Amino acid sequence: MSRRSKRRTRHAQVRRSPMPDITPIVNVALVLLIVFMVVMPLIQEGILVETPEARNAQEIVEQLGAESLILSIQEDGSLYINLHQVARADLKRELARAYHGKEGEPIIVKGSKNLPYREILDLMEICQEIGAPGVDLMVKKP
Amino acid sequence: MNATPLADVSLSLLLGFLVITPIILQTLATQLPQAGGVASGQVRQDPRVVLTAESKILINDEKVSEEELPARLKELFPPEADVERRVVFTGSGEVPYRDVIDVLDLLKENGVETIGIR
Repeated sequence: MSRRSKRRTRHAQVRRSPMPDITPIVNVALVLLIVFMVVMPLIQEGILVETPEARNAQEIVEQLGAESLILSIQEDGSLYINLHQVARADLKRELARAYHGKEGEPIIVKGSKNLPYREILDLMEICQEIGAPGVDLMVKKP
Repeated sequence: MNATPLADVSLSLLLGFLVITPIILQTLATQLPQAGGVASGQVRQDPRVVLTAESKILINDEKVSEEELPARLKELFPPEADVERRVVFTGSGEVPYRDVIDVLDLLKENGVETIGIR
């Protein structure tokens, strides 16, 4: 290669890059990736409830889309079926409707650790009335 | 430097994470009494574990401390016996839910397989 042509190629690289600069896109994508990795577990939490701790919990792994029925009760007593708040008076009807098609599966009960056990018992009773064979009490690893 | 492959990889990783990330729920499984009650053929009585309003643990109406509980359960369910390790748990409505979970956790830790709630 002659000295002249070498100079020309270097010149072309500097002046006319064939590709647009995609470094910002890569940056954004990587940042998004990290943000999602961090935030994902929080999103999955669903309704924010401070569940009690237990060391011998079993793990239920479920993919997005195949959700089980989660009944949450917050410390102030507000009730949620999956992500929808329900009034206490409508709970049984709404729960029975949500449970339709999942017969035989346990219902996951997510209760705040500071509630008196009576509140959870009441929920269990309703679960039993609509025909659930059991409840899985949601906990977290300490 | 050509960063396109890097962008491809990271974007598809991102998508992968969004789609695949399984939801892992930690739970303690319990069973509820069923309509129709106990099958008539069932002879064996499951041990009853009670948590009183004073946060005392009773096994078959006998007071048991947390330290004695493993030994007591071992008595009830000898390791060599091939039975389903099932207890029936009753908790007072007064106690905090946290304490109930502590007891259930303790039961699970000591080899109880199934917890029925009454």
